[in-house]
Amino acid sequence: MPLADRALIVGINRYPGIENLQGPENDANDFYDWVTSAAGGGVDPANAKRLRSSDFPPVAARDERPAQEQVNDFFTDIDEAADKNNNEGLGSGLRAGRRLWMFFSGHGFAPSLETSGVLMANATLKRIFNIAAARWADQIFQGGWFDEVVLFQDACRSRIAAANLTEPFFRPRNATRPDSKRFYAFSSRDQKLSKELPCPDGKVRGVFAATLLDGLRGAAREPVTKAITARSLRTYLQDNMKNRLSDADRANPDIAQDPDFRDPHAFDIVPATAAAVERYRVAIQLPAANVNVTLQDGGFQPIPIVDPVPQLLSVDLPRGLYRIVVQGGAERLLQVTGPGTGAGGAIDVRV
Amino acid sequence: MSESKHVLNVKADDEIAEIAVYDGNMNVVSKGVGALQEALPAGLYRIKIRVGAETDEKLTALDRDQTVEFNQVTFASPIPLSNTIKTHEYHVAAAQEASQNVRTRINTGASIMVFAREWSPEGNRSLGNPAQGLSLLDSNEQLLSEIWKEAAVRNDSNQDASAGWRADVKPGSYFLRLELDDADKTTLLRPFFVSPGHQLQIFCLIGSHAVDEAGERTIIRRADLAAAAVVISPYGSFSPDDHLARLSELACNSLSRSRGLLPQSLIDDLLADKFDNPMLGLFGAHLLLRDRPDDTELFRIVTNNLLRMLGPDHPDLQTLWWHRPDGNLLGDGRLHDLPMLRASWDFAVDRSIKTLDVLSFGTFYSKLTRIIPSAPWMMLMDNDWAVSDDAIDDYLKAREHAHMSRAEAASALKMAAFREHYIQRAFTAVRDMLSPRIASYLPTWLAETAVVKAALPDSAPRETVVPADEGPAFSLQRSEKADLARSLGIPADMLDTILKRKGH
Repeated sequence: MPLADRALIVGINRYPGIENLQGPENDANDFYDWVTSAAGGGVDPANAKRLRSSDFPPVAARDERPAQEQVNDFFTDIDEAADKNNNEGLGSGLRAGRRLWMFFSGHGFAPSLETSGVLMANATLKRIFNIAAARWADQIFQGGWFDEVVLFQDACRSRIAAANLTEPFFRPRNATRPDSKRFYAFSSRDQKLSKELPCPDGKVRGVFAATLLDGLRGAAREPVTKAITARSLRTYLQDNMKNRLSDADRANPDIAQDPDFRDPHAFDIVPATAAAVERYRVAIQLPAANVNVTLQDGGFQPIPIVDPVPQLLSVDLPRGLYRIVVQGGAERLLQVTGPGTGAGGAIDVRV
Repeated sequence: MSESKHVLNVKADDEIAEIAVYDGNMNVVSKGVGALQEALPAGLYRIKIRVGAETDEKLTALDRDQTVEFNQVTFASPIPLSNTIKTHEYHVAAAQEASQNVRTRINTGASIMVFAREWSPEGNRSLGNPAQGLSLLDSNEQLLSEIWKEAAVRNDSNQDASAGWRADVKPGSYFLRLELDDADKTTLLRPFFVSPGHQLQIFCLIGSHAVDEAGERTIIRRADLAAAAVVISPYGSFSPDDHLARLSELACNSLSRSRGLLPQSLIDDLLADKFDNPMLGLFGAHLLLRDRPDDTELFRIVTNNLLRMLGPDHPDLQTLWWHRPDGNLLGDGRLHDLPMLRASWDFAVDRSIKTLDVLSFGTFYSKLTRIIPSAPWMMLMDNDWAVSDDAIDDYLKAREHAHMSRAEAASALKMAAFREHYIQRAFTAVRDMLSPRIASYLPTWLAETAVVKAALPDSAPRETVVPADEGPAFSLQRSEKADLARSLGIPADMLDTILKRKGH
């Protein structure tokens, strides 16, 4: 019998000891809906633990939840599930499941460029209760509890001097499996600030989380294999997160425009489906109508276009690199990475 | 893509630039550091480089051999270097002036320069004294100078303010202290060591420190001491175009990350002993140990070069010396002063786990619990409470809670196994008493359950695993203590003392 996938989803809006946020619960709900859907992560809702501020009544700062204890309970459950599976002869050794998904959205901090943690709801400026999500992911990965560990963390990486990351309390009881895979993605790097912004539906979401969900829902699929791979998701996030920011945010060197990743392995995060790969509108302004123009893909293969060619040529293209060659020598290289910033989300190109 | 191949050459002005080449489907097909040369199938490619947190990219059509070149990428640095994001020309001039004008004479033989500055996108954060709260202490924490009072402050309207200060000192170990002047009297300390004849240049950007003032979240603007950059100048002056200072900043960023980024050109610099920036040498030696641990001869040459430049008393060099294959030690082999780099301190903690008599700090030893988890630089917080104490409490609490939960779960599993075993035996006993004809009428599910359970040990082997702690009390494993010591940056014997005090 195959082992189950499990998921931990944490979204904290309420930080009475610091400053409230608006987006994390929306992020957590979006991720929960996706990860428990058959077309998404396919995790049985019984194996998905969602912890949000609204799951708990508002109380004094030091008693606010979710706190470390609720998250730690999930990890303890994993360890117990591994014992149970081992006892029942499922899998080999202490295995809690096939894949672990972890999603965190809330305030965060980074004691150094490389390390970071998510603040729990009861954190205050004097007592920085936190979950070192990446260290937990490392520990679970190295201890072989799962074949695959996927971590997404949408949280600032501000420097807070008076705080240490709380070490995971798991001790490895298995050897690391040689074929294990992991993928960790973080909303920011180098102690930059992560942004949350209102989306077209009026809800506030984390810039990273919103881009991530778009990618997982299909936008990050590889054009050829049609799977969402670790590599394709990484590239999608790198290319598209900054597009959601305002010009002012993009000009501010302290705002995160670029996610961070930790040595991802090559594997399929979402398997290939029969659904068509997403295409994006590209509006190409040519020197004139009816010119002799060729549109080529990344391997220099021609892509059919309308004939006669209008001066403003519109084509729908999947993510990738393209070349437009106009008779007479003018040429333009362009990349399609996701929706553009032109009218109706088009990518505007002038040759 | 077509079968023909062409050579793609990528050259980045920044030697530590990470290079990634993407094919037409946005898959990474080649990677390098500083430069890259690769024969690739004809097609379109995107070349992306990363320098620190900043990136640049270009597209190219590889229908023939191509060379793609990248200029320096502007990144953020506390040092007002040319081609960095947070640099104003007037800050460059002020820093140059500060490096040359002595504001305080404490002793002779070396000098220390502190340059603190505001930076805002609008370029008009002119209020206040950027050096506010900064002081210089000796290695016994005795006050030598209140920098904030003695610095040359420039806060012209419509400019980001700066404060520059230089003191002539004797070579040795010092602390730069930052007082936040909040209700909790938060005080941060950063250790430095200045070698004979050198000028230690410390550059700070001003940052926002969130503090709790009577239950209210308040922001205080003070120097971001944890991120302050260091240049060791043999010439006693600051140069904004110092290529090696720029490289040193990038090497510093690289040291804070786990991935290997050691380009050959930097190794060549280290080998040739031609770097005028000894800080780059220290970063390079650490990167060598991390990324090329088997290249012991190269490490020996680099540390010899550093010894000539920094002298035998430099604590960062002393910790590097422990890793030389010849087994020789500098001095008595113990560390007498705190190193500047957290990576150096991590060596000391690691050594304390494996051997005794690593540190000789005198009365300062008791303050080591105040080390905070900053990187790449070493930092301490001199408050009433130690951050590490909180972290140990949180760890022990979580560990105990998990232990209790596991003990209950294990007990439930044992009980379930016992019940199954009991039912199976009872079933077998009843069946054996019946005639075969009557026994065949017994419910099949019961018989199957018994058969499946009986067959389990062969069909699905259970792995022998390290058992979890049993019983109501738990004891920390040795490896667990070692991990805690490394994570908190506390010497092993000191952590043992703390744990004993907490009943472990």
